[in-house]
Amino acid sequence: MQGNPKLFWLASYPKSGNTWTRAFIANLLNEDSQPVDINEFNTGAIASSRAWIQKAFDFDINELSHDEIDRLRPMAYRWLSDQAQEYEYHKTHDAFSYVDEQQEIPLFPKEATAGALIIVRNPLDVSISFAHHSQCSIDKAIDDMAKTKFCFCGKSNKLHNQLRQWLWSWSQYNRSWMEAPVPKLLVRYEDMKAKPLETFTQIATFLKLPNDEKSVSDAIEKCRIEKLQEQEAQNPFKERPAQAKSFFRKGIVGDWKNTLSQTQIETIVKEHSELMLELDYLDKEGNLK
Amino acid sequence: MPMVEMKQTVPQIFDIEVKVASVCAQGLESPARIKPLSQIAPQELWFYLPDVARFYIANGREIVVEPMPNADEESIRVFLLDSCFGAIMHQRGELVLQGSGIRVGEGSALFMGHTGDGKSTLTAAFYRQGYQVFSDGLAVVDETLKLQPAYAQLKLWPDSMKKLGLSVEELKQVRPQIAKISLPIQEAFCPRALPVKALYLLSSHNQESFIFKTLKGMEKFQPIKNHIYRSDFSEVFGMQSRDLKRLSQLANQAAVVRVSYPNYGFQIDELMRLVEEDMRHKELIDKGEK
Repeated sequence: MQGNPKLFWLASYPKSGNTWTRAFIANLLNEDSQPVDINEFNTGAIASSRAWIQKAFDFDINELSHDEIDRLRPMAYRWLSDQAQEYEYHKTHDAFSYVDEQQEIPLFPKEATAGALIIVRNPLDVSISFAHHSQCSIDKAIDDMAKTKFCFCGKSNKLHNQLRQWLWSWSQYNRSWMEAPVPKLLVRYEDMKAKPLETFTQIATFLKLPNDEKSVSDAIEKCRIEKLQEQEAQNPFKERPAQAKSFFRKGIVGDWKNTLSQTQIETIVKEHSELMLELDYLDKEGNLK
Repeated sequence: MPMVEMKQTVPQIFDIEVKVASVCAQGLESPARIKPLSQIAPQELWFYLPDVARFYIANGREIVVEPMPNADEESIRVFLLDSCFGAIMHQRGELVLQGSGIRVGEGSALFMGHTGDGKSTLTAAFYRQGYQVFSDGLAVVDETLKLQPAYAQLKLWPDSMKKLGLSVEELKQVRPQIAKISLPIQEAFCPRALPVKALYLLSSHNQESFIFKTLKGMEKFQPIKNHIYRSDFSEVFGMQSRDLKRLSQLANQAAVVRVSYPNYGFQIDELMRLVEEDMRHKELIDKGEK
């Protein structure tokens, strides 16, 4: 029995504003005058949460291979959507993929999907933040962002708390969601920074959340980067990788101009120019904006 | 099918029948709750694992398995031992917890946690030090609040085996599709039930410290309750009030300690040393005793 789809996917390549978006949603739904605790953004489990998917099955999915679990995930999402009383907002770094050879069964089935909010960010800035998050060199981050078979939690010699997530390359990731046959809204991180009220109102409207000006403005104010950093300084953020110094970093647009070498810029642009042009990070002459 | 994980009892009394036969492809006649590949009713569970088998578990004493064509024996055994026996223990009114147990003196200690929280690895670390083991993953606490022996094996991922300095040579994978290893522990298996003296609730955090907090009074109850194996089973099987009563008795009897450890570079030896120190401090084990 399928009811109305209840699951919204907050789809983004890592370090593109997903946590900021969840902070906004949590604060928008919270009536308290104080900002929501950074460790209490309970908008919904990440789509790759092993514990969340396990709820849909009465056998132990830890005994299954990555491929076997992938084949079960669409039916889990359908069931979890049916169980949901209200709309839920689930972060995902999984690309929009298909779990069968015929490319007919999407990982995120339409019967479960209320919509997909796609958050994109200039890959030049993503590379810096991604390197910081992964505690690797920027060159390594740039290399990972170009890999067509890039995934998280894909090792077979250990158990990860999260299921394997195929990200593919930065371009492939975003393209997969942009072409996904589900209701969707694409926003740019840069617009969330430059035109917050307008962009977050669009987001709130798409996600069927309160979208009046006061509610949206209040929520934006409560999740300003400075406030998130302030909270993290007081109390460690549970999603910070253990080896990273902090999760909420600069969050500024255009950091690449001061940080990346010319070679690094050229490598990223060469790899992702088509989508960068489409997303207005490059002009028609190939100049960076 | 040989069940090497199980210890043979003398005399050979058995009260659970496992048979290979046809299982209805459509599920149960009157399910109380339906999930994508399973159905449950009072005293019945049906589930289907594609390419492996259909399973039917009833009345706390019957398991029927219908293998799928080309299914391997190891896969069937994995789901039989965990999912089927976990369910049948619920049906029999036992308290089934997500945990692994070791012997401490004339009692038992349980390591509890969610998936990936290190229960098996910590149990294996104690096994390596010479401690006896009751169970790995599923822990059954009987009406006298004793931990029941389960299977004479530990299931470990190669990464954990490596961290523990255990060789994977000549050991088998639990099933061909995954790299997890079955480590037989016949010689270190504790064959008799012993009272539960302590429960260690494991979780990792992104800080550098190890934190031990001994819980008191009412605060002991909910964390144990959160680790009931498939807690919705006991609801449908009508065992909820019995489970809660036993949980409450268990919380009274045993020390409950919340343990948080750094999630980066799993320091298993240090974790084991600190848990062992806590056990000595609580006089669960004497100095030097295992």
